[in-house]
Amino acid sequence: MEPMLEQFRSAFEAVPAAVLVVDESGIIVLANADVNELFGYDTGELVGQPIEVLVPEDVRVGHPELREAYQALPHRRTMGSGRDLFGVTKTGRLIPVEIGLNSVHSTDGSYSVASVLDMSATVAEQERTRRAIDATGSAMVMIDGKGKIVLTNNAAYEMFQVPDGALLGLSIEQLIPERFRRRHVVYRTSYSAEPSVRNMGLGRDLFGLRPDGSEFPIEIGLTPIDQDGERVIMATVIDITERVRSEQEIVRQNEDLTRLNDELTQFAYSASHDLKAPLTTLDGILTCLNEDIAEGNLEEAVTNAERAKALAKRLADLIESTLGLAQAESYDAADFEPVDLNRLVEETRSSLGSLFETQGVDLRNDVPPGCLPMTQQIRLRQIMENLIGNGAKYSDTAKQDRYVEVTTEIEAEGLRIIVSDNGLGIPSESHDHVFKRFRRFGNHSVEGTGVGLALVKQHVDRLDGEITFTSSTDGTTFEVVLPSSGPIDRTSQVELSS
Amino acid sequence: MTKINVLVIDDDELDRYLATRTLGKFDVFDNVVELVDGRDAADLIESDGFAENFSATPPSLIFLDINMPRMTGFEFLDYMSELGEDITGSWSGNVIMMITSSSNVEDRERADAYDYVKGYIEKPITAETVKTILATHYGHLGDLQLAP
Repeated sequence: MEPMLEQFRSAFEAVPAAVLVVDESGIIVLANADVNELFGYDTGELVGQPIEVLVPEDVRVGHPELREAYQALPHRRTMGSGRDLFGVTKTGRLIPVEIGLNSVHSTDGSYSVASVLDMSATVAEQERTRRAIDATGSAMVMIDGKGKIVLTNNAAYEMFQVPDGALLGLSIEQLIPERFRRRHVVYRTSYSAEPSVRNMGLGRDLFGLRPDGSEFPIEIGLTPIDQDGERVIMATVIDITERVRSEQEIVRQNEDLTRLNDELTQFAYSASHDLKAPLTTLDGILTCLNEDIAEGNLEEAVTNAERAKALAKRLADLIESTLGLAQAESYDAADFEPVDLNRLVEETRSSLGSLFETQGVDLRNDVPPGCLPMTQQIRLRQIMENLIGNGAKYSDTAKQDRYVEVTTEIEAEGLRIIVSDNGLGIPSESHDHVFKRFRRFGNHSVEGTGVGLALVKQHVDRLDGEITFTSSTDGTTFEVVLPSSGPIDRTSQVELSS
Repeated sequence: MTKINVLVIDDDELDRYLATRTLGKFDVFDNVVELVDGRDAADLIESDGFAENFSATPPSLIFLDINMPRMTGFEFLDYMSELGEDITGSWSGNVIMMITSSSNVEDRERADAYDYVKGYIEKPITAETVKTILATHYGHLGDLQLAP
């Protein structure tokens, strides 16, 4: 034994790596300077000690058995790659190591030769990379040629709401909804055949799937990587739920804006047309007034002056109600609250008070006291004021006991509010035009702007309700149905379409 | 002297007053009849005695408003077209001017589609307008006093 070792000794000392030689019973017979330095021992200190002193305590017990198994069939091999193999120094510090092992046979028995590679730097490097990947906010998923997930980061675990490590080993198809899986396998394999850096999901037809079954829209960036001759694909996954929601919100707002714009154009047209008319007449009357004065026809002049004033007032009323129509748009922001309908009708009675007296009409409030529809008070008030006011304005003086009656009925769809009167009625030719702006019918001597019912219709529409009416010479009945479930909240739904 | 009969069909009392006053400045007009809307006009035309009171020579001058309750100006024209030849025969010989406070292009085009509508006037009806109408449509007739 001795002469062989002597021959090897100087060679061993010269090897620029940590090497040691161990005999059949696991005793260290040779350890070079690099080994001593690595494990913190003095020269010669390790010789004669069992190899197990360099093995971490928690695996020391099983090590002899492994050693004997190796010696039964010794061969050249590499152990560990720094992640699961450690050595322990004299001071008890653990070092990640990679070990090359081989066997030597000589006349005095067989020996194992081990080269020990300190993996600390490599491991630290890997740790740094690992931390960098985890630090990124983008979810990263790396898959191998068969679609198995081999690497992920924290962001990916958070996105898919799974515990750390839960995604490793899964097939990538398990992260997408079932209906897309078969398709996806095809895409993946054809992509692997000809990979390129690209984005997927730009058409918003890609979704991710969480263990709880919830789906979310995603966009994926793909990068092929050649790793030691093996092809892997790195996928960066972005949750675009917010973006999709914003886009849908923009579309919705655009539709709203277009609609409002169309309404505004229509409104501007009809407003200018119908506001101009009294002005041209006013101009004519004033011309007559001038002529009357010039001709000395003072009586006629006075009459015309009175007419001019009445026209001016009519125009002012018209402008005010037209503004009311425009303003009705802005009531969308008002709160929905329970509104005491019985009290609202009473308030109408006092605000329209003199009208009822002048017309000799009785207002009957048959709304039960507990009736509290969930609605926008300002709109309901205008609806009631207009409907009740109309009932009074267009009363039939030929009839005795003229009245306007307000009752309610509770239905499955909501609350039905009924305003009926025994007035003049609406001529049947006009029934199709009842809710149009500036249309008036029947007796023009009654004050009115033709805007009231258009306003009522607009309010009812905004409250998602319905309005109908019946009318004859016996009287008119308007019925408004307000939905019982408040307004439809259009902003909270993100449409998932595939 | 021969006179021209006039129909003013307009739902607005003041507009009728203004029209009648302007027409009154011209001697050539006789019998200015005011009607509230298309319905009343239709009733009048279908009534007995209309043909006598409203002779076709010289043709009557008719101012027809567009926006009226119960029956609008266009609805009135459509109604007249459906009445048949004997009435429309003499009817279409009249000078029908549509009057309106609307500068709506569509209304104007619609008016042009009726071949017996001779014109389209935006209110108010001025003396100048009346002069032009007289010159254009009655100027060829001999014995009319056309000046105001």
